[in-house]
Amino acid sequence: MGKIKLATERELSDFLVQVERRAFKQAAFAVRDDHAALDVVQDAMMKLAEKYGDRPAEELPLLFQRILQNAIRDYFRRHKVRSMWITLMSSFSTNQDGEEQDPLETLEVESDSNYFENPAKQLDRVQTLAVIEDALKELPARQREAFLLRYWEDMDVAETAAAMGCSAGSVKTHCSRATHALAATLKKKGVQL
Amino acid sequence: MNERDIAKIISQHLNYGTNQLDRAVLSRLQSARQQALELHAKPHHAFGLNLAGATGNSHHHGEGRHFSLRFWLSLAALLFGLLIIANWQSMDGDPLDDVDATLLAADLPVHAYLDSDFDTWLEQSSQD
Repeated sequence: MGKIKLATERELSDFLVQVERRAFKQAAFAVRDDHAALDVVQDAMMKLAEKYGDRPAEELPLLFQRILQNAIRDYFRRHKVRSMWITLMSSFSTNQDGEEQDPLETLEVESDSNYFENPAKQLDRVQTLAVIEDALKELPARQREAFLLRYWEDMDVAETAAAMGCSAGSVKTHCSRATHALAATLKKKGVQL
Repeated sequence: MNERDIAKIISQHLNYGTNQLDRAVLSRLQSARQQALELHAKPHHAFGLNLAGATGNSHHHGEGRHFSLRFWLSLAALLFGLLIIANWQSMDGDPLDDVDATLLAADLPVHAYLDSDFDTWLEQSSQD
């Protein structure tokens, strides 16, 4: 009867397990706040499960990415309105929200993986990651979005364009600019790829 | 090194980063996932009670179609109501407008109506 195979609850669960960490990092690069990023990811998961949870499993990645990007944009819209009110209502706030986490703090977190046994190599890897993450945060939003969807989420150009709501040509331009900017930043910081 | 090679290496580093996430973050993600899955499961049960005996995923499609129909019917009713109000307002013009138009179009000057002697003259001439 039904030619389209709809996603089972198990498939939806597996998909969310597979995508949640990258989704969190994507949101964190954009909003630069872990708690806000977690809220954004939760919103996106809820929307996917509520409205599109029954769609075929192969449609879930694109749908989720589209929802996630919209959730990030919604966050910025809400944040803009909220910060306007905060500025109006309170001029003596000592909030330090913009403070970024020291990437070297991650050294104290014990990794479950024993892939990198050499501490020097592990340190090098953590420092490189910190430089890459900072460079990603500094990219214009659309370039970062295109780069992460195209190369990290491994979407093709058409899928990336659909998720971003733009043309395939724009995706290629954003990706190219993002990659060159990242390569230049990493070179400047002495990171060899 | 071309664009794809650079992107691939960066992606490998980013993947490494996802394995270094804080336990608190992982726990929040797990909890968010559980809530999403519970939300996904809910409509099945609720609808199952209403339409016991029906099969497959047609439940949701039926519900969607029903919602859509309800939405469009409400919108059509609203537009119809607005149309009627607009039409009624345009048809039901102010009666004073007609009086003003008659006065201005008449041969008699407007000042004549303001003259109190005119009423007296009008009454007398109508009696004659």
